[in-house]
Amino acid sequence: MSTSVEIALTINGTPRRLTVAPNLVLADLLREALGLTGCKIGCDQAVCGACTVLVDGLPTTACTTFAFELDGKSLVTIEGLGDGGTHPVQRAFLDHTAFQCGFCTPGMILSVVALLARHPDPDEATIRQWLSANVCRCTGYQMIIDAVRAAALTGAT
Amino acid sequence: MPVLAIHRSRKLIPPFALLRPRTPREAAAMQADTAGAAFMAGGIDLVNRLKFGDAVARVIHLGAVEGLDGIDESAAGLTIGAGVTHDRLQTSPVIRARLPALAETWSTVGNIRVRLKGTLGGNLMAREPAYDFALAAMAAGAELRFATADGTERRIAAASLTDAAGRPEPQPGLLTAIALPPADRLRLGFDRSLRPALSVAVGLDVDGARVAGGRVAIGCAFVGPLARALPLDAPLAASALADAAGGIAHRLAAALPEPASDGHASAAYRRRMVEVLLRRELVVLASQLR
Repeated sequence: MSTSVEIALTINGTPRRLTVAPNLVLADLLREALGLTGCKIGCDQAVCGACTVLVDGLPTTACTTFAFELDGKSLVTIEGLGDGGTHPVQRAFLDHTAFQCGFCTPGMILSVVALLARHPDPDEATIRQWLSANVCRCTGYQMIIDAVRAAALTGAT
Repeated sequence: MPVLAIHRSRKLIPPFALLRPRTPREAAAMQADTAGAAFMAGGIDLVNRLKFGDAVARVIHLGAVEGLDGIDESAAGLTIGAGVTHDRLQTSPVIRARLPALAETWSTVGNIRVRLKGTLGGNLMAREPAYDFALAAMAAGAELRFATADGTERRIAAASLTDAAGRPEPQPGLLTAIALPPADRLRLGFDRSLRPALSVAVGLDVDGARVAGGRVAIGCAFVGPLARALPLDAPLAASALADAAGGIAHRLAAALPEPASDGHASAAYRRRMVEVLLRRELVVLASQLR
């Protein structure tokens, strides 16, 4: 039985060992302990997608995932995408002005990275279905879809 | 007075002790030993409940328990591990080939993140009225397999997960698998179009050109998922199902307990829509049997 948990994980390519309370939620670990504030808290119930991060390449809601679940896994946040440069999906979002206030953008971009890993050439229906899990409060969806199509054409994953 | 605000937050999650079993039996023993212990697989349901401040003294995390994630087919039917995620169910070649209605329906359950993390076992054992997999298991006439603390396996019908009013029945251990009948003898239909007011799943037992029996499972209308046998007086020729659908649906809806009345729908509307959706599903399934 554990009241604190040792975990070993990779965060944005860097191996880390951390001690966490079992009830610590990943979003709070990222934002409050590690300063990775690109992970946003919106609905706090796995619906809006603002807190999306990639865990072993899969889109995951950091607001409903405990930090201890990351033991042995590889985590990528928006800060680690692109390996220090601009990832092709980020470039496509810039080129298509696919954001307004930007609150949803980190989660949106990470979701798109996961989408293109599974569906390298998605049709619009697939894009819409996948991104129904990410809410844009500014409702700038058409530019986002255009950006995803453009990113797919570059072979971005 | 309607509820105007819900106080829920990850900051409300109380401290708990973490247990990490390696086998189903060990997990079942941990739960049997401790009042206030809860299983956690994908955590979609549990984390949500914890955010409302639900007190759980110990969380039994199932991430290291092996043998819960298989999808296997034999002459006896399909066996789906309780740890299979919604996404795996939806994308499984076996499920897509054998029970395409199930795979197709599951492509619209939750969102992609929920489907990737949430498990069928967790969804089913939550017995939440708006969750989907209990309906599928009940409609299919599934058998649920549980590991118990003494090492034995308990098998129960999915329909007995809840009582006659839809209230959860006690859990006999750790759910390890959901066993479905052979796919060539089962037809499934779903209608989720009226969620969150109502959802309906229908399962038919097919024997050649006859419908030998069937079940309907109803969600979003009672305190939990509710299963009922289709009121067939005798096995029915598949060709007669469409004509009989209206009568079957009417009798079943009329015999239900009083559905919930809430902000989504009235009890009378829900009862009426059970009849409508069930009749439609039976007609669709009849057309597929010809």
